[in-house]
Amino acid sequence: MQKKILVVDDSFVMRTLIKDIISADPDLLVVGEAINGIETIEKVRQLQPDLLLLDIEMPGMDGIECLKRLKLLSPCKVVIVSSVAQAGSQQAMEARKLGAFDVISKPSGALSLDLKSKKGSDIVRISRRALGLPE
Amino acid sequence: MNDFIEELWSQFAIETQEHIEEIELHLVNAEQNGISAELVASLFRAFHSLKGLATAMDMHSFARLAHRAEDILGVIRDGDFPMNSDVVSLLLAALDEMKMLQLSAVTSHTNVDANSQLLEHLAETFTSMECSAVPRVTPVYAETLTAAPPLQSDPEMLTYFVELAREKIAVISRLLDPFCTLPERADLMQSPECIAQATEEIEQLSYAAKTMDFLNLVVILAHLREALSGNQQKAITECLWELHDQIRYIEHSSGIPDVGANSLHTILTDVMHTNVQRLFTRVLDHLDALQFGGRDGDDLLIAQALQADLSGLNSHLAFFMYSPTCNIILMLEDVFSRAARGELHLFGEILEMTRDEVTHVMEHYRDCSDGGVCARDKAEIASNLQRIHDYIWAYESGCGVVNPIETFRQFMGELNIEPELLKILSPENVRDLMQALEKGEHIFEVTAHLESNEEMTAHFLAWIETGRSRIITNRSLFINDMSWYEMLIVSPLSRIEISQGIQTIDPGGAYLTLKPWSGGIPEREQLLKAIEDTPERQLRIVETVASSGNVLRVQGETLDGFMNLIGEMVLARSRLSHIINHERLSKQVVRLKQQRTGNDPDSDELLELLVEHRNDLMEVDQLLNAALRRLQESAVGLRVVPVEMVFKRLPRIVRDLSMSQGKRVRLEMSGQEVKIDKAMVEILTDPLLHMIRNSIDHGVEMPDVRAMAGKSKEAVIRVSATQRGSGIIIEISDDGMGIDTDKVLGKAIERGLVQRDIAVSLSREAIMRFIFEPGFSTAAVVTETSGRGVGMDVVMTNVKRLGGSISVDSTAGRGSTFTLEMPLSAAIQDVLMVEAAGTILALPGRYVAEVVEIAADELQSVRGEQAILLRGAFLPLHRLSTLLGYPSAAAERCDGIAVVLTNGSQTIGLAVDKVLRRQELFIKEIQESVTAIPGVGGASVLGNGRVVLILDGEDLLRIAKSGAGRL
Repeated sequence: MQKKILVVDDSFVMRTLIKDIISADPDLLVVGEAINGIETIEKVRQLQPDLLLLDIEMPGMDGIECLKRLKLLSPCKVVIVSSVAQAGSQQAMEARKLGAFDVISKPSGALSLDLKSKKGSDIVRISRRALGLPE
Repeated sequence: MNDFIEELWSQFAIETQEHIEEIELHLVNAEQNGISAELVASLFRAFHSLKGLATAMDMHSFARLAHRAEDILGVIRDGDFPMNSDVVSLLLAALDEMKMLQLSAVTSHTNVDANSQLLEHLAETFTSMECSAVPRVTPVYAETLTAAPPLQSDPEMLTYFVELAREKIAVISRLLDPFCTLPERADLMQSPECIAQATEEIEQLSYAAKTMDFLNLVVILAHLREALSGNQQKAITECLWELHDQIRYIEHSSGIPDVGANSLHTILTDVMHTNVQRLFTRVLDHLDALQFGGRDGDDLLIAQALQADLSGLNSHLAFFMYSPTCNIILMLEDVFSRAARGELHLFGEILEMTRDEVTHVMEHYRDCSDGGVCARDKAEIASNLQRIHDYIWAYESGCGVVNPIETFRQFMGELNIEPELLKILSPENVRDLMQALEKGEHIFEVTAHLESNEEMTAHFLAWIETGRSRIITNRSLFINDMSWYEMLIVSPLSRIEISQGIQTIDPGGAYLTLKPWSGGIPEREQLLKAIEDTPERQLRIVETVASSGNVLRVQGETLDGFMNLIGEMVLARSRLSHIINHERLSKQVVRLKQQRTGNDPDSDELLELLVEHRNDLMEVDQLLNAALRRLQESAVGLRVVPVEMVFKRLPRIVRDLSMSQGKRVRLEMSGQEVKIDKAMVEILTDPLLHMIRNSIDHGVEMPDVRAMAGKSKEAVIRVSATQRGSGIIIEISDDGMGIDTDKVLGKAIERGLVQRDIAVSLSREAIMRFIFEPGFSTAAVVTETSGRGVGMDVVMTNVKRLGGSISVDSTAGRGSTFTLEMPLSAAIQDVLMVEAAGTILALPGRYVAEVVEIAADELQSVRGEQAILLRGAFLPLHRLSTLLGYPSAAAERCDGIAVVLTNGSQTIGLAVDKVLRRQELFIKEIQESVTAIPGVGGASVLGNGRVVLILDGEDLLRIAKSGAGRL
């Protein structure tokens, strides 16, 4: 059974790249995308994903608020994908406190990645770990 | 390059372009007007996004520039450095460079090095800004997570929770409102969809509550879910109250006052008030059914339903704290639970008493909810309680109904208890015994000689009392010329304790003996089982009827407004239709076709297009017309209600009247499901009540008279409704004495309604009609309600006015039947509202054929009459205001709008100032003087209170024929 993933980022390019990377792993399935916090909450209700790949910097409802609201809705795992929230930053800590599994940075040089490096990327590795899948 | 990457690049171009434009706008604006913290934050975010995008696409120079700009904005965002024109210029320079890099990225997908000077400048600025900034202690966040504080203490979390809770509570209470509100009928079930939806909402709220550690809330929600799955109405209501308490608590603790406790409270109290009202009505209805329903087989079921409703009433009233009052309801509940088990035969007096008490409580409740005081005398309540109590026991001990008491007696007999002692057990004794046994107490039989030893006697009685034992009953008997008492005692003490006690008081055993049991100590379970097994306990199961879909309540006014809107649409359609079918247009088309030479292809094509479009339009118009008609029909269908609405008032009237006259009447009703227009409810009620009264007063005989005539003492009045065509027929028949034609005739002659010599030649029907004459009454006794001769003539007048008719058939000694025929929507008239001479007038809809617009040049004079040519026929025109005799200054104006009025044989055009809308009017009772005005048929009152005259179509046509109002 593939794990359901919801990708949240306000940038289409980012979402596309993240989806592309995730698709390299047959255990993972992107079931939906959201472009802001409100949509995220709606989609989590609808799709009940196993994992959320969540951007922190979003217009409107930011990632932290989104995370807090989500906590009241769903037990779904969350991995923060953001270049702002680097490990050790205040936002990262806050996110971790709110139950985010980990904080990773956005994909770089995604276009040049081959299948192998996609599989080895942070996004895939941390997602698998968050979902309790063998690495 | 594949499509995927191509698509990515084009999206990259779009997104980066958006960010760049946003940045540019804000920066330029900032230089002129200063900048808010909010804008700095969004600038920061925009550069940040650019950085991310560039990194993802491997555009490192672009990313580096964005990163430097982002750094600078970060310092400004944190308030460490103001945004000045130097910074703005620098950022704009960076942006220009980025534009260039973006262009090359998008066109050639290659990374171009950025201007190194600019990069350096940005880096330097950032460093200097940071240095000049007030040094701040940057908190160091440990990577290890300490135990997180409870989420409840995070104010943001609390706010989010409250928001969620508010939303959920609103939905849940809306969904569950119907669950708490008793349905009009006890057997209606709630829909499973509603349960499923509510359950889901509850689960979501429960999840959030769990996260927040609001554990009490979680527990209550779990209970609520359980109650919901079992469709246990009472439990649902209770859970909602608990939920209310919890929400109230959360509101207190969070300091957020409007999570939903208040609305929940309002809903629940409203629901309870509604329920109490409904329960009262239902209880009274059940009583009516028991008293007058006459369907014997159902009595147990009705009693059962009655008991359930009384129980509901009890728990509701308890909430509003009418405690002494509750006791009465509780007592009545007991009465009917016995009746439902067949232990108690329901007879008139108990039902009467119940009705009295329930009515009392109802009034009392009403007083209290009106803000009055609970002023009912406690002594009165107590004496009423006693009355009910006495009735039950008196009845039970007096009648031979097989009941658990018999079973109990038998059971006791098996225990070797003195049969004589058992015989004298009153029902109360039995109840006490049963209660004691249920509590696990024991029964003993003690024989005591209490007369010769006063000290011992006192000792014995004191011992009984201190041991919490009670003497249930006793009898005296003589043994060896000594007076002994045989006593049945219940006690929590065991047999050994009792035996020891007796030995202590009377060591010699000369005065007290404890009778040994043969069957051992009665076991509670055994006893209960014995009672359980009696067949009377096996109750029939009430049939349940599945809910007939969702019922939507709509206010009458809403519906009327809706009808008016449809009316406006119908009118708009008819104008559209008129435009399409306009005489001149069709004439022009015909003319053009005839003139067609074939030399001018342009105009030919134009003509064809015209014809084609006109045909299309006609088709659309037909579709629209059909759809509108269906819409109108279904809207009319919304207005109908079952005739039950009228009938349900009858049992009470029948009961009150027959009681007060000492008559016995059973009411049988049928056809309650026949639908009538809601406005008819009011109209039908009065005539029907009159006729019912009439039947009881004049038709039904006293029970002994009936018995002598060989009829059953109980008379039957049948009320039935049937629908026939577009009318409804209501029949009221009784099996009473019928109408004595000789008596009627005699009275008619006496009152001078008919000449004596003519009277002999009158037919039966003609004689019967006299009873509808004003002031006519043959009743010897003038009762409170009828016999004064007002009534039937009023009925007749009302019925006639509404286009109905009434007839009577009677056989002396066998009964009478009144037949009422009414059009289904008598009082509703479809009208077209127009304005003429500044007055709003209503033209009856069925006479209105269409509305036409008249151009001045269309007017023709035909034989001295103004007319227009409408579809090949001349339409004589009349000005409505003139027709009605209004002085009109506008009489000379000939163009405008005309309503085509027709009765099939005569058609006229009525010129009016304005056509307002088509709507349905409810005809009000009006004085005859109004209808006497030529052309006026009635009047109605509009929503705004304005009176409007409804014109009489036939009358108008008649006046027009006479030549008045001609243009």
